[in-house]
Amino acid sequence: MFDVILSQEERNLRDEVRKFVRDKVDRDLILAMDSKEKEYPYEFIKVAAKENLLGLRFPKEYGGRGLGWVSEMVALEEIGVLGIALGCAFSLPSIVGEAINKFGTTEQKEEYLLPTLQGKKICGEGLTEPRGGSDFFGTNTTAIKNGNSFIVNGEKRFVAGGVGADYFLVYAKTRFDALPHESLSAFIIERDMGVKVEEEYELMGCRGMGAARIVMKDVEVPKTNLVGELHDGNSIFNAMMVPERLTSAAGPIGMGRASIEIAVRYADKREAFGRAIRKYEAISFKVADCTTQLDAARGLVYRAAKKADTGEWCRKEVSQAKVFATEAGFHAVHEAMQILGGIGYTDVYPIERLYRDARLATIWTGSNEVQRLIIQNEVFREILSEDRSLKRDVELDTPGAHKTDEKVYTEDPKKYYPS
Amino acid sequence: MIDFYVPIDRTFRNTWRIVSNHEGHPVWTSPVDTEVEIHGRVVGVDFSLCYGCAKCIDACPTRVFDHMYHESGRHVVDPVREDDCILCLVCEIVCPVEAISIEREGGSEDTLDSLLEGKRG
Repeated sequence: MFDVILSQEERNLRDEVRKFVRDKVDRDLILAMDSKEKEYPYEFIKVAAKENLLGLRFPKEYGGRGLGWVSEMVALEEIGVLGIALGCAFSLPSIVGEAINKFGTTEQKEEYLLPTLQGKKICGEGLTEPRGGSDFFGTNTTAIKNGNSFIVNGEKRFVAGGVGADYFLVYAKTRFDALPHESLSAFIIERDMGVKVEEEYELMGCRGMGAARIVMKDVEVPKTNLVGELHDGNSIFNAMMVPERLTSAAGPIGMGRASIEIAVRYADKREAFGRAIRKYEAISFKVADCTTQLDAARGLVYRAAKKADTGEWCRKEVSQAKVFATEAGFHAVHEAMQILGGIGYTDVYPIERLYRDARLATIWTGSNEVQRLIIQNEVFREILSEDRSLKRDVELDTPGAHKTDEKVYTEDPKKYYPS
Repeated sequence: MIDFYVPIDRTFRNTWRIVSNHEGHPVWTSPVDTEVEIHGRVVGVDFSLCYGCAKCIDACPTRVFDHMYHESGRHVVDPVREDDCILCLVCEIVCPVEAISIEREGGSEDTLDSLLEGKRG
């Protein structure tokens, strides 16, 4: 349905990934992950890497395909139907890879990016701490220079691949007397350098991704594993948040779409009061509303992706896409369950699993509340810095426009105090 | 143990009055009831709530608290070494009557500004 705005190359990729999802991902893997029998989907990474589907945007020399952001979003929606955990496994090489590809040294790209996209190394990222995740710049983890190394102390929470990953992209405070966004640095820290797992989380959904709390106690990290400039974690963070949030946006569209497809087929056959329930507007309008929202979500995601492709600052567009798509995706799964009724609440249909999965999307990678903070901040900046002479002054298109005494914005609280 | 309690007033550092000093930490009284005391600044303990169960003494990794017999005739715990507090909050968690309030570190506005306004791109 979005064929009109996708290029032939993007449509071909969509069809390729759709086929991959149909043929190459074992149902048993999904069930084993959800039933907690599987710690990390190594085989999914291997087969996705074999099909050259990981890190699609990155240069071919490092294992990517050199494609654009829209292509990755198209692929992610298709991967999304597998659930949020495999979507996460698919996305992490894109997220961590963004930091290494954009800011890493040639050696780091050869040692980490290439084998990651080849499925030979598993990556993870450490942003959230016990004290919080959205308040990223309050990071407590420290990295202290010691000769040719940094000594890292701290812990990271809800790390996908906390169990399973070979290395982590970790942010730590390296300066203690500067503004928060001038105080953090990013490091590649290998598990074997001394990263310990202290808690494996029992999750409502998104299972089988090794979500854990990892602890680094006096871990010695060679200075060659510093990514980008010292104290400039801010630049890397802002770059990583593009794939982090765009992948978070595209996956739930797939989950919502898959759920609505199940619900449509069900409503077409399921009867109540002598006719198919699709004949009732209470049911069919849910389908209308959810598919409209999913299409709107795609529009926002592709718009953000196209802007990301230009290299321009795109934080507003990315956050808008993340908020809208994750809520549209979850709502679609929610309404699909409603359409199926009681049987949708059982494991006879996969909607209950997708429901548990989709619930996470509005929380992770910067909660939707924080995305809204970002959006409003960007919007106020945009509007308040506009040259007003370039547009019609609509404020004047009303009979009372001249009543400037009525346009009150503030008053002295002591205005009526006795003098 | 009391059957009903209102947790410590976490705004006390801004809204209560310092009336004296005890073991190097301030003693605050409530603006509505001067009989109610909170001891400490970083680690505030509401003496009208605390009944000296000592769970915080056992839990604190830096031995901030000591037993104290208050002039009102009650056993309480006093944050005599509040300067040693590492803000781990374990005392807040274990206190059964929410008598303890740890001062939160500042800077949250700074970190929000960094998130929203920090160097772009």
